Amino acid sequence: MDPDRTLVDEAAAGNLDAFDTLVRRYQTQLVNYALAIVRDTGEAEDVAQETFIRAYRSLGRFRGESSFKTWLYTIATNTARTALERRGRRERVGDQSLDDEAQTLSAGSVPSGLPDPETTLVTRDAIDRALATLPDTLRVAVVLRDVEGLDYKEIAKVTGSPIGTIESRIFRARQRLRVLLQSLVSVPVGNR
Amino acid sequence: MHCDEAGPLLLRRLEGGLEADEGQRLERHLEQCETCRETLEVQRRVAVVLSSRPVTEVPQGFAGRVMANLEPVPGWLDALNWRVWTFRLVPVAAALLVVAALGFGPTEAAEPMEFSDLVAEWVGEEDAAGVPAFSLLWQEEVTDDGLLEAVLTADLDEPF
Repeated sequence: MDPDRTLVDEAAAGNLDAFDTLVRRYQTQLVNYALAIVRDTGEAEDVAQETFIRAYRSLGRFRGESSFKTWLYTIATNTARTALERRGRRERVGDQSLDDEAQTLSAGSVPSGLPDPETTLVTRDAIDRALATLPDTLRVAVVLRDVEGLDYKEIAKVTGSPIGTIESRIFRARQRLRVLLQSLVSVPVGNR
Repeated sequence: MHCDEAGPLLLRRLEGGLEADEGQRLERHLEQCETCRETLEVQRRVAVVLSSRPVTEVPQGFAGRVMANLEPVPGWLDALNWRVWTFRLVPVAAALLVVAALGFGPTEAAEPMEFSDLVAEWVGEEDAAGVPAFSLLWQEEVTDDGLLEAVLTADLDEPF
């Protein structure tokens, strides 16, 4: 049973308070998900806001075949992709070689010890920069699994891809991120 | 088991989704294969690092801005999206027209009826004597032209 179902039904019937509760319940997750995908705070907030607005407009067509959360992530993924296409990917660092990126990430500032605000910022930035080097399909899959905590079935629904494809993307994404995050992932590189 | 076969199983092992026999085969492989052991550890550690990504706080007033930008929920008529439906029905309508043209097109022309036969059919049945019961005109020997003239000039309030 979808824990959001009652609120969704009430919101679909025009109860704005019910939808406001849903927005507050998922706003942090959606903003952070969008940030991991588009890597720009303002743009991430726009994506999250647009996601909620699109969801509200489409509430009447939500049939509950997936959970409301999965449905929201589906809309957010499509909205983020549209934002990336609109931006023309000019800010992405995908053309930068993996080696260059790994040097950049490891040279600077790998946090250690207790997290303080600066360390938190640096850690998040290191992870987001590493994620940004991945192709969109790998990034979406690994973020949904490891950052957002969706299971494989949910990711398959969000992306419209078979579970086997999702497994492959997540596997490859982690292998590539290992190089980029080697300072955070303390496994020796280059044994293979 | 080869490393290629072990790859997908490594992910499922992390998720705890391996069948018992698969798990046993993978464990035997891992005992012998340092590369796959390292891959498994990389997969696990990267997942841990990503799951510890610090959360960004949502700016104050975000939910309020979302709610302020909502438009009224569209009614069920809007949800039907008539433009889309109309567009989708065009080929259906075209197909129906083709079927109608093929199935109900011009048929063979019927044998032309004599006007007297038509009037006989129209004015009523014959009585037991074989005389049309309804029309005086029918009792007389009249030509088709005469009958037509009588019909066209008849006083409708009076029987022929």
